[in-house]
Amino acid sequence: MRSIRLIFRVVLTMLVIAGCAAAAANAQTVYNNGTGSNNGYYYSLYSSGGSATMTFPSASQYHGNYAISWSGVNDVVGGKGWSTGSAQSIGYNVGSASGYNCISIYGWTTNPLVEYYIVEFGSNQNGSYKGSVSSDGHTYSTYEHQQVNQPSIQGTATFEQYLDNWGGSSTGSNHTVTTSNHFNHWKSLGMNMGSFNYQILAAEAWGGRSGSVNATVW
Amino acid sequence: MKKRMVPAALAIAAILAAAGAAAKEAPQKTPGGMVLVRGGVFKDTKSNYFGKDVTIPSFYIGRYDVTQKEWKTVMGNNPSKFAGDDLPVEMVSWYDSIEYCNRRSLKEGLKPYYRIDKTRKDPNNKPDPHFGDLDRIKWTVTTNRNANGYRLPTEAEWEYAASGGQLSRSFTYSGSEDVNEVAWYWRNSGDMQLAGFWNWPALRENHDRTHPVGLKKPNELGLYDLSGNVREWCWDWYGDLPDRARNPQGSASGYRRVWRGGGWMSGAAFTAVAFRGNLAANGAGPDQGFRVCRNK
Repeated sequence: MRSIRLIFRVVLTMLVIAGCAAAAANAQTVYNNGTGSNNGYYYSLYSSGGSATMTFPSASQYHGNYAISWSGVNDVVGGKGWSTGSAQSIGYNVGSASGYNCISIYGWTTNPLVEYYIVEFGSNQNGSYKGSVSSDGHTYSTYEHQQVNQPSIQGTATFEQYLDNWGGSSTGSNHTVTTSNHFNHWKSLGMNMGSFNYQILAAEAWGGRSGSVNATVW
Repeated sequence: MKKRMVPAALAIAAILAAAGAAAKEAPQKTPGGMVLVRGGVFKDTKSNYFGKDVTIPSFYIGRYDVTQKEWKTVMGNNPSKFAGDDLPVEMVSWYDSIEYCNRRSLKEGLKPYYRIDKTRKDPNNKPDPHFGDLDRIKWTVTTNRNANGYRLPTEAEWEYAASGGQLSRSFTYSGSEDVNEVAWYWRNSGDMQLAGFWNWPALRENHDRTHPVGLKKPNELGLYDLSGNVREWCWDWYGDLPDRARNPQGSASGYRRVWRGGGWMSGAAFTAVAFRGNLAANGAGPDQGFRVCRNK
């Protein structure tokens, strides 16, 4: 009987510890600048001017969940995703969003060095228009933007930005970005990708705006 | 009398012979600020050249990156974004680095290693297949392989030295498995330690920058800052690496020159000994510098 009680106590203690750890992970708050991992996903928040806060309100249930609010920022970029991306199908649900410039699948590859955006909300158009691609039920406009001697993850570099711009997504429902459709389309245009670096669902805002986003990626 | 002179003459001859032998065998003095890298095949098991039968002859290499003080003494200007005598010079193109080598050689009475023809466009400098003619300078630069003047390392020499040469312990970064121990890179080169994703605005706002040379731990050969701080130009065109070669000099032509070692702006992976970077020869940035070598 004593041993059963002991086992019960141990199990109860473990459950309490686990519960506290989960609560701590989800109660995490990032002010203005911060990065790390949360519930198995990488997150990053950067802001300058004004203020920005990142939390993970539903991450215990939806591990890729995050929320960012910002006020009067010169620039804010934040999101959650993977430290090493891939040509994967990325699911997301943006529960609410306001005051942003764009919400995108954003990442880098190396050899060749490429910075890419697949724009789901808002707009990000730079460089030369290269055509269009249909994926996941809608059409994206493709842009290629050459960056000469500009900062990059490798240091000063001459590299490409690839942008597939749609921006017509909606809040409150699940969406998919079949990234392989975009990457294959870019390849068909001679816009080659390299080895994957990080890949995130990122929200960006600039120009003194205030707003917020609550999103989940998987 | 004659008999007594013979042993004396023999003794003098012996002394002269010994002196001559001593002069031949006396170790060449290592130039100031440089380290002798004893040659051989690559010991670093992570090297691009490991097991490829590539041999590097002995050579001298700068203990530190070329500093702004050294640059100003030779060139009379300072192109760097971050000013400071002990900081590495940056914002220098490959051509700037080549010119520095020759001018420093002349200043110190050495034979210039490079022949620089500014009037003839180098036919081996090809257009970038993706970006076109990024490099509008295209000086034709050839080498005097036996000259004793300053020069850039070849890519193979750089990797050999960065890996510790014959003393290599096969570290990922030059001198350590812990990048923070040996390199200034994007996470640790500003006001605060940064974490998570590389993000240029974050680096800019954190005042990420170069740092005085020689503050981090040296590698197995006593060389500093091969990983991080500033990226270092190498002589070679970026291209395929050789097998079974002695003192390889890189591809005969190309459209970008090699840099190695990453810099304060780079992700850790790009400061690794084995990572190969490239940039058009006229390219420059606040994280792009170099270190010098000389033949032994």
